[in-house]
Amino acid sequence: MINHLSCKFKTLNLTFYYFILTLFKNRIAIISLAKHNFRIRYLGTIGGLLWGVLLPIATVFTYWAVFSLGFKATGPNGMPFDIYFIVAYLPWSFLTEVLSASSIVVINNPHLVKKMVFPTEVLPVVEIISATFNHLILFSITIALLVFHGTTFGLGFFQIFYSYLCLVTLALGLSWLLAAANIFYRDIGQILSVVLNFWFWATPIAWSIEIVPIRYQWVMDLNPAFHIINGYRDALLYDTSLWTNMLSLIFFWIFTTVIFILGGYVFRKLKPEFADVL
Amino acid sequence: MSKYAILASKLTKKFRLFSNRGDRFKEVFHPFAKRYHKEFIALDSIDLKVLKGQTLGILGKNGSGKSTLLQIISGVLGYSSGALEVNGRISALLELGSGFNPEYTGRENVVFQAQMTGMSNEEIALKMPEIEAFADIGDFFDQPVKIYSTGMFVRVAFSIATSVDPDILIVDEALAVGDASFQEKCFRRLRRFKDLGKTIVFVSHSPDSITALCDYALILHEHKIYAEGEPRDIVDKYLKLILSGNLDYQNAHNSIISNDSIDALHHRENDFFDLKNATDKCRTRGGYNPNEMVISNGGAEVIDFYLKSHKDESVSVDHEIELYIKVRYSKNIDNPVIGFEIKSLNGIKIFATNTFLSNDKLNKAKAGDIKIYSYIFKAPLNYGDYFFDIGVAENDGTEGGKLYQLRKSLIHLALDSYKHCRFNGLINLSPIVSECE
Repeated sequence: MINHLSCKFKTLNLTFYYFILTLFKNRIAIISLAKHNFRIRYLGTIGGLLWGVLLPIATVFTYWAVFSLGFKATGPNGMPFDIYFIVAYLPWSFLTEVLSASSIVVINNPHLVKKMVFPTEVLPVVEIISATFNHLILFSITIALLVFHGTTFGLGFFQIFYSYLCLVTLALGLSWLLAAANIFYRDIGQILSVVLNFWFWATPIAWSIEIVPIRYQWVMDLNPAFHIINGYRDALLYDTSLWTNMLSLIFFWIFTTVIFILGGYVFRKLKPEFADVL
Repeated sequence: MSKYAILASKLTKKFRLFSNRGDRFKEVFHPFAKRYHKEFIALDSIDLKVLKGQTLGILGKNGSGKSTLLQIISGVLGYSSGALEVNGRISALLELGSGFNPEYTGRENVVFQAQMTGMSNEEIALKMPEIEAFADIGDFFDQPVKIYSTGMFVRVAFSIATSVDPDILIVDEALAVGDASFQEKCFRRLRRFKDLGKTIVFVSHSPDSITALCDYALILHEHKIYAEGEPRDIVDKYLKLILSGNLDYQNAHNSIISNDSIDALHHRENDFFDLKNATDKCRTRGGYNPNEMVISNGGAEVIDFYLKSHKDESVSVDHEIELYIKVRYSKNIDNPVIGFEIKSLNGIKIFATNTFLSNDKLNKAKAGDIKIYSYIFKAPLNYGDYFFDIGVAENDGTEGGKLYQLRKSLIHLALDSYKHCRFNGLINLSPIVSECE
């Protein structure tokens, strides 16, 4: 039994190794696809790159206007709403962007599936790279806002890399799952936006965790997005170490590992069928 | 190093047909491997050996599995069982614009495709002028591919496929859409490939290009290899195959007065000359083309035809052909006119005549008359498929006369005897050659 499991583990390892190898081999194509994404998004418009800056600012402004001006909401301990919100919105917008794009990335590139020998499993990676670019824009805005509010950064700042890694791993696993399943059940794309919306409000991004009675706060630890936004807040706002909420961390990695392996498995299993369905 | 570029044994591809996508998904993950599909065998134990440097031609009707085979060889499609070994870098031109992103410009697509074959950006930049020059589509090269015509598509696709320096080149019928001068350019390039000792797998519907280019040919028929060998023999066999069977875009009935029905023929002949029968019997005749197009204005109708060659067995090259046309009149016509036209498969008018043009005056016809007219002529045509239009009209003094009925492509005449053709082109002008003193 243990032998069998270790054997399974080895193949899993090997699959992951091949995936990394594929990424490396196709790096030029991946970058070229990401560049093209970028070009479609910005070069065709008059505003150009300005939209990449304006759109997230507009969103943050809207939430700030409604919650801070309207509802007089603040972060925990009277923290200004705008910085409390934007730091959590930063990873969240990345996640939604990647998932929405990935769910249709295979469907939108049938030529790569049917007419070429192309490793479609790298397509979500292309979306992650594209989204990372926008992520960096929003990150700069966030830092600017934080500096404006007089925030100082400590060593905890570097935890942001860990949180970004969390974000990418979760996004990639979910992307594989969505991209593959959406080809067979197009409803998934429709449901996704509802689920993302629900998930957004179920995660303390625009509201403070303090609202939840302490007795029930552990429930939030089961939400993998909570670990990520907490990571961003810990790094940028509180400068605390990420070990403070072990339950959240452990649960996040269990969930993410399962999703990552499941997503990779489902994608690999369904990949031979893509050409026949698209 | 293997001496084979492509080596396939018992290669089989089964397509699984599902009633919907969901079933396909369920089958992949069903814990007890429940089957939701029906099977369709697209390729049935194909054995294939292509030597390095060889040019293989593949002939076959639509749906015989040619494209599936090429897709499998190029790795786009998996196979169900058997073994496949491919030695060398493949560049495939599968159908139109293999792997082009419609949103990318021609240039971007070229860059992307080249990157996929592992070329570095410097190499691509170096090759780009050559690729652009070969495609020769001007400013369209920097326009999104989605606005391209099929011709432009294939120009860019062919240009890139042959410029990435593959060991094996796979070309699937794509050239057919290019114009003549581009096709010629492509063939020149394919020959250069050949001279460089590269392997080519080439699918074409045009027997001429198979014989001209290939060292070896095979016919795929009903998902199996039907015959393989010398291109000339194979082309011959292929023509036999498509002429004796039905051309894939036509239904039954189009085999010409065929060998097996000499008795039936005589019977039909008697039947034909029976003037009492006023029903439309075209459908029952050998050579009837079910895809004919009829223009009727009433007054007179072509209700039957009979095509007879000098020899009874088959209508073949250079034989005298007798064409009988039966017309039923439903009104009194003083100056009836009949005529016919022969077109080649691709619509070239080879010959057309009518009794007005030839100044032959036909007798008056009364309503209710059934008349039979005959044309006897020599058709020194090359082997291939020809179509007859037959019409009846009246010369009523107006320009062009008054058309009563025109049955376009009523008869499909397939001339075989490929081997007896001692000329190229459509018509044998029977020139006499001698050495001048």
